[in-house]
Amino acid sequence: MASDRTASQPESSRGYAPASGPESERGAGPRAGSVQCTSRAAPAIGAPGHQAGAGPALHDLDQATIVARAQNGDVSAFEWLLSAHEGGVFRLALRMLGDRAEAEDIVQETFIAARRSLPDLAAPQSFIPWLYRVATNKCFNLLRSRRRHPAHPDAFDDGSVPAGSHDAFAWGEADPRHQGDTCGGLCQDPALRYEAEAQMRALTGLLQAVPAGPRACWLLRDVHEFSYTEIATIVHLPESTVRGRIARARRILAEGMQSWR
Amino acid sequence: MAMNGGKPRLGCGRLIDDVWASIDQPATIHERSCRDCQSARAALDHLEAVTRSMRERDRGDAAQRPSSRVREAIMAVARAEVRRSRRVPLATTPLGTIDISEQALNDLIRFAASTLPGVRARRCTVLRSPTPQSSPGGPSSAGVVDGGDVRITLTVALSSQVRIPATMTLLRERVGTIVQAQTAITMQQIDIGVEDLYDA
Repeated sequence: MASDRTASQPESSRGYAPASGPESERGAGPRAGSVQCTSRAAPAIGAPGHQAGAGPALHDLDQATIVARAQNGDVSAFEWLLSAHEGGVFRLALRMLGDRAEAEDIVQETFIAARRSLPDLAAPQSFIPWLYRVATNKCFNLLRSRRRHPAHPDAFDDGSVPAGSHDAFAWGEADPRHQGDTCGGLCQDPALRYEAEAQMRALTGLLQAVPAGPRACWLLRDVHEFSYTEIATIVHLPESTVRGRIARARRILAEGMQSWR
Repeated sequence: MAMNGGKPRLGCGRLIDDVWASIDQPATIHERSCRDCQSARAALDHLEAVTRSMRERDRGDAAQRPSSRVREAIMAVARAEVRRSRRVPLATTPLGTIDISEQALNDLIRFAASTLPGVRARRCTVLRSPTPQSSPGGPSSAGVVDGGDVRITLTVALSSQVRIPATMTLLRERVGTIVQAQTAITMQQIDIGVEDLYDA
């Protein structure tokens, strides 16, 4: 169950140990320049990889090294990052927009923009939140453009409340037969598996009734497992506002899902 | 349920956020006697179970990824942009100049560095040297590196098991030797920045 724990990796490790302090050495060689040692790297990560063509395969390297290589123009490193994170970015966009073609456009725009801006990323270890920030902003921009077209209304901020959800609502009693029996794709029983799939479809549908701001925060926290601090950075809001939006989204979704309990 | 200060509260006054934060712990005395809290815990618990199922299914579901066409389009743009890097002349022949792109030289340097055990090459930058041959109004030298005066900065991550001074010496030798053998460029200066240590 989620609390404000450090986020786990969407599809690869995001762990990063802090700097261990500077060391330096000036060595020999052809007019040796400076040598500076500034931090301690994360352990190697596991994700879909490609051979870098140099030394160990990319999937044996820490993510900061892969990001640094991509910043340096290494196409293989960039492709590795694309493989590792295109799925996560796509799922975020798909659930934000509810449209597969638009979600694919967001993935394409996000990674092309990310590649062009990569050299400006000061800290390679912040690559993943930075990538999701680019994607989230693009989703918000698309939703705002939809609002300007009446054919595609979409509640955006915290002010609107979806139909069927109101403050006076009282959560009903749970059916004890169904407590904790949601087992997703892991169920062996076809009936239970079918019910689990139906519940996931219901949740996906309900999400579209959640205003875009809380929807993004909830997805980033409960589906993509970013920390509250990371989400505050991604959506450019105070952490307290992020917590409020996530709580609001949970309330709407929990209420909407009660008929499945 | 009521909204208070932008944060939803239960009828008993508790924040939903607080109920969520303690949902994986046994119910408190208040929660055991409060119908609002009991209902909220059950509803949130159910939501978390469905969400967890969705997370687990997503990771292995090919339908939850973009089509290969998207990746191909992104990589086509990436490769086209890489080809626009500066050039480093290697030799002049009666048929013209042979040169190498700065990006290819970077790749070669990272390759050379990474052949040393315990070294992970990160960024390589070919420094811009003064170009006295360029004159105002003359042809721009912005897209060309002086092949006779190549100076680089290389950042690396090192295994915590290696001795840094000895590795630096080996690293310079290795990079200089491989680049010379492959391109005939003799490096004039190799600055190395060790920006990370990794456990291995």
